[in-house]
Amino acid sequence: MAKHQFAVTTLMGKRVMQRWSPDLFIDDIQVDKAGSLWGERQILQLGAHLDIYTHYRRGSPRGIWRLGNGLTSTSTNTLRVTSMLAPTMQAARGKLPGSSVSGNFGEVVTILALESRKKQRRALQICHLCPSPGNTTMKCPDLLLESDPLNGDYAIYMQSGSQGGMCIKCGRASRRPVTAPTLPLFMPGECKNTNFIGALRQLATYWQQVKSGSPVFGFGLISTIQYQAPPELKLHLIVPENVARLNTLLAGGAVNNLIQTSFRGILYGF
Amino acid sequence: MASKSEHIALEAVRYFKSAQLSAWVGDEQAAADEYEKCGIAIAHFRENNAGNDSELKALDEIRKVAPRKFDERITQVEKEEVVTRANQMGSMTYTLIPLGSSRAEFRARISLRREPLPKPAHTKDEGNVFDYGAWRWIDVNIEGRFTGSFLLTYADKTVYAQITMHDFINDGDALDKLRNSIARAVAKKLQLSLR
Repeated sequence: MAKHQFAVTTLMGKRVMQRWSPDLFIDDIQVDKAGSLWGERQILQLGAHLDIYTHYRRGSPRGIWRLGNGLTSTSTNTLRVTSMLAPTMQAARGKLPGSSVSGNFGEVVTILALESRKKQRRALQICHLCPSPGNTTMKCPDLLLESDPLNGDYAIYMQSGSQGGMCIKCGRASRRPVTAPTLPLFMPGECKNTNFIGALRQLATYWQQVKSGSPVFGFGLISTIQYQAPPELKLHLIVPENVARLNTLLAGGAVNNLIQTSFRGILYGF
Repeated sequence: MASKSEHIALEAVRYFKSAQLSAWVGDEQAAADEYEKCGIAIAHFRENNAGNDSELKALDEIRKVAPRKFDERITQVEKEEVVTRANQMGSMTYTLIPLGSSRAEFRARISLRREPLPKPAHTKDEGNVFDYGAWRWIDVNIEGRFTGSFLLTYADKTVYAQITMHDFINDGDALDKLRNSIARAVAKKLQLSLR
């Protein structure tokens, strides 16, 4: 049985809130089942993919998956000398991970992580989102999910700053409020392997749609996953610091031009 | 403590999730009924929360177009007949989805209202493991002509299994027999009533 140990860290925006202890332990058949039930793409046996992808290393003799029909260096040189092989190209040595497969790891591992935090192991209330008919070009977050599994870390983080602390990195006075906004029951979530800003823009599109009167305006979850060893999952909680400024920012329209610093002073932890 | 409105919202999402699970095990009628109940709960919520319903507005739109049945695909065996029909054995609703000629995916949902699902006795058998809210076991079933890796998840009361058949299967009768054999083996393992 292939077991995977993920280090899970929760963050407020980009600032660390908690490192979960113990780590998240999952195995391949759990990932298979979650992939079957929740995976957005039709990938059979997602757990087996996670098992081998975890140990993939580009260029590493141990982790690389050899391609059949590879050329020896002698035959490569021969091809190059005879101008059969373009000088800027070489024979491929190994197979690559399928991005449409690995793109499913994030949402599945995120769901398993959040589910592990549910009291009495109750099922996580979650559903996938997709653009409704007629809006198919719209960028839409992956999930609408329950905020309950994150409430504990959120409360501890906010309480720790409510006494008037100071950031140990930059020395600035803590911006955490005395009264933290309550997390809504549900919020949009986006899972990415690495593209944090892309996920943030997708949430921004959601906030634009629901408008500032919505209880989820400015709230969300972005998860980023490193599935190659050592596996790591980061859960970035997004909480509005200044709703009025967020409203003004989004009223500008072009969400695709927003960068992380655009949200400084508007969302916590940026 | 959650307000009355929050309870209604949670109820709507609970029905939504239940409908997803019903669709996953191929129970089209139950999925349709549960999406309907989800819609009623959302309407109830919106009556009391006019202008503040955007969380559930999105869910309502998705509910209307969400698939009532999944995985209409696979193998030369009559697909519609085989895949889209959920089967019932006691408190278990289940389906078997063939993945080619010798492999299949078994899915089941167990609806026990009062009694908890059983947990395995402590064992050193590595093919029979309980941890992290799940019970995994491997069944090499000579009589039923299959080998399966099973996963029971307590949180949502579902069973998932990867099945390797001991014979190539190319007709519906053989598949029916296999499906029932697997279900009986699961019911026996979990001490579920067959009625």
